[in-house]
Amino acid sequence: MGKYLNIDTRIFSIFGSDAWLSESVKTYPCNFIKLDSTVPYIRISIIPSGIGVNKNSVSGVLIADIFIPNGSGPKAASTIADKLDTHLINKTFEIAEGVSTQFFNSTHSLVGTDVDNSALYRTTYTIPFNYNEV
Amino acid sequence: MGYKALVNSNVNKAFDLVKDLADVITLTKKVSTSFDFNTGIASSTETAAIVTKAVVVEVNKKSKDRNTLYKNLMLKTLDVGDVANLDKVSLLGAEWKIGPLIFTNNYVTIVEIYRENLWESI
Repeated sequence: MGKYLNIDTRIFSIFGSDAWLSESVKTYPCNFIKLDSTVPYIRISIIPSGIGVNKNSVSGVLIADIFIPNGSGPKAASTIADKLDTHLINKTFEIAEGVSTQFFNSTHSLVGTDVDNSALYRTTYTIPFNYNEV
Repeated sequence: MGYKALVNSNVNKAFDLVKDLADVITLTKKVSTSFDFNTGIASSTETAAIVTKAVVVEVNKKSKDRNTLYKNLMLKTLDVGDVANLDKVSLLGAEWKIGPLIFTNNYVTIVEIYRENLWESI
């Protein structure tokens, strides 16, 4: 398995874990057609676009777009961002011996009314990571 | 007969009156989708095929498009209900994907449909 698929697989498994599922936050990947109307929900995008320490390594950011009902205040988004922190911040996930994904500190920014659905308000949770393979 | 039924009846009549300008299409809609984060696999379930008539009201070909064909399709809302991005339409033997919704009311729905094809006369 190559580094990009390794990153997707390992990070996605966090959101498929019982620990994350118990948080009851509907979670979808990017490039996915969501047909149910559950709100709030988050959309995960993994962007491994940074330089790594060697040819098998790469750095990047995980972006979670958080969608909450418009007009409901920021608390629901902050609650979800805190839940994401609980599962990600400063965590290192071993994939195999010498292969790991390490997360750092996060940021959370308020974007505003969603351009595609004005019933939703969108915030963006961002956390950088390093994928290292020696 | 109420006004809504009356209008829908006339919409049906209009689609019949335009004769071969209306094509019989088969619409397949996604009704639920899911994504398994442990396997990375997206899955969906689809409705039974909806067979109805539709009128191609516009054919678009933009200079920036090298191999994508677009058409605007007018459908009977009563027959198709809500349509969503990536629902499928079989039109004249080819499969098209539903794109952006252009217009809808209780009676007619106009959507853009598109498909990849390098060489085809439209």
